[in-house]
Amino acid sequence: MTFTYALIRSLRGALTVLVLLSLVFVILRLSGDPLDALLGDEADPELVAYYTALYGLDRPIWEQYLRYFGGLMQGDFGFSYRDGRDALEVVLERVPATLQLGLTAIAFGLFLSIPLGILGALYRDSPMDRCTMAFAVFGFSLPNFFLGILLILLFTMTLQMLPSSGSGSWRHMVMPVLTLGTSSAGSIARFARSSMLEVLPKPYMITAAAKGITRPRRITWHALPNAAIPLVTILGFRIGDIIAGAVVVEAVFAWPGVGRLLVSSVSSRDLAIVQTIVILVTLTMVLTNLLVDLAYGWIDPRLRTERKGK
Amino acid sequence: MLVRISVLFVLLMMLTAIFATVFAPYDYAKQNLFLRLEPPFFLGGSMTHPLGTDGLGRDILSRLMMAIRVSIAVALVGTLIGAVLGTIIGFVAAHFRGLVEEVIMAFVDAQAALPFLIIVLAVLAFFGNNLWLFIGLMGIYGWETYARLIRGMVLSANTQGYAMAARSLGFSPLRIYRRHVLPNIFNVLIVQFSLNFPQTILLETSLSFLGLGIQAPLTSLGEMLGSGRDHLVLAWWVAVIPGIVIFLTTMSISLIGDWLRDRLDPTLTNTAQIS
Repeated sequence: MTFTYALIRSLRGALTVLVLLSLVFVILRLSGDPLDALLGDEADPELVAYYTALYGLDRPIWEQYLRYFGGLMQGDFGFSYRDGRDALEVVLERVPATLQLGLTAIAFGLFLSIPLGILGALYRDSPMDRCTMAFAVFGFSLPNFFLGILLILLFTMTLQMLPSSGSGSWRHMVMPVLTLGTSSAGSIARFARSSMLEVLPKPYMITAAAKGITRPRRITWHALPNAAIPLVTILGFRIGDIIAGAVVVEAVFAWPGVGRLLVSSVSSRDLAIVQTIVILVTLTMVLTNLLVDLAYGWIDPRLRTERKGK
Repeated sequence: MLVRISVLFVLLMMLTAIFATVFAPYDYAKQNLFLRLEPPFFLGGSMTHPLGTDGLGRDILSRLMMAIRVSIAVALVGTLIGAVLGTIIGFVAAHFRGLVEEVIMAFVDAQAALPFLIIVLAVLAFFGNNLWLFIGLMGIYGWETYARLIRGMVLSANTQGYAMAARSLGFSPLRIYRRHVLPNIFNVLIVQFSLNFPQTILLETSLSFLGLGIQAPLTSLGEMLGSGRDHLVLAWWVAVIPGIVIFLTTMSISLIGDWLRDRLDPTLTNTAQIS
């Protein structure tokens, strides 16, 4: 991978962040006078004048825009009016819980979906393959909040094995991870299957067979590495699904993460928190996709030379 | 076979949505606090309330019909707005190229960079919830997929013989796009629409489930499920019945969509799976 390519990709990512942050600023200004929310409708005019000057609301709009960016750069994301604390601090406290849930769910989803996809492709049109496809459609169509409720009915209400809400032990994690992992596993299984199907009839697979390499060895050493390459991209896409899914799943199981904070902050219109979460999610998404893109060239040497050729 | 059943099920949902108020045995909002959490007939309940009653004694069957109407209508209007908007923007990008295209693609990238659920939540937080804003947001969902898709299709169509022939006959660009290019890429649009529609249903029901979408007294499948969650211990069916309807509806439309894609557009198979 060339340096120029990495640079162009990084600049595009930065542009995306810039566009989104600007949109947040525009929405923030369109949604009404920030002082109304802070002081109420019948505030003392002197107080209003004081805060207007303090927050620079009497300045031209471009200056406010620059100040807004300056603030973000210095880590000033505003104050949570519910907590009275720094919004960034409130959000960051919740990040570990969401990471724990999200990463475990991704691991579980991959563990479930990749073998299913591979087996489906190897035994095409067999009952195994039909199971894979049924699982894919199932994972894709079953809303995660409904799956969560079904699990609660089974494991909490009927079997009385697992707690339905909260966090703290591995038993609290089982259902949220199952719920979040299954929804993304469906589409990954399907993708793994089709990418494996694409690789299997390739000439190098036939060559390997002609050389007398055994089938298990052909599949693990020749087919799998090649089929895995496109899977890396799909993982980049799935990060967004996991984040959106975490919002819903955390609400179902009262998991104390960023998603639940977002939902409650939207209800109480704690704008600083919402804004902070939007910015953090944007950064996470853009960075992940950038890394996936760069990792692509590192994993697949063919791409490196192609890009150099350009 | 599976596709046929799916088509029948979707037709049933459409008919229910259209005739919800005609078929419904009761007013969907009428409460009867003496008849709370009645079980459905298959669990020993009576046929006066075939699917039982909810926590406020409202008839679940009537509510379900209304919820199907609201969920289908919101998703349909939302998907249509997204398709029309995205298609027009895609044509604009492909026609003007240059700076216009760059700006449009920057917005496409920006929207693709954030999970749409987060965008909706942020906008609802800033502006407060109201039905029209919510439907508008459902319309913005997915426009970027159409814009990207259509831009690519139009760019390649413009280099093909039929578009060049029409251009050399002196037809205006608008006429070429509407009468010649659009009919040629319509299949792709239909397939994309059938893939987008169930996702819009899932988005609406998720948000309504969180209590941030369709608001009571109006109901939707997600709102029913969300409020049924409070009664899981005593009356699990209040939440499970609308859940099954959501699942079957999205699954049927997805199966029809897959079938359409195989029929209409073999080239799309891989790209659609990636996105």
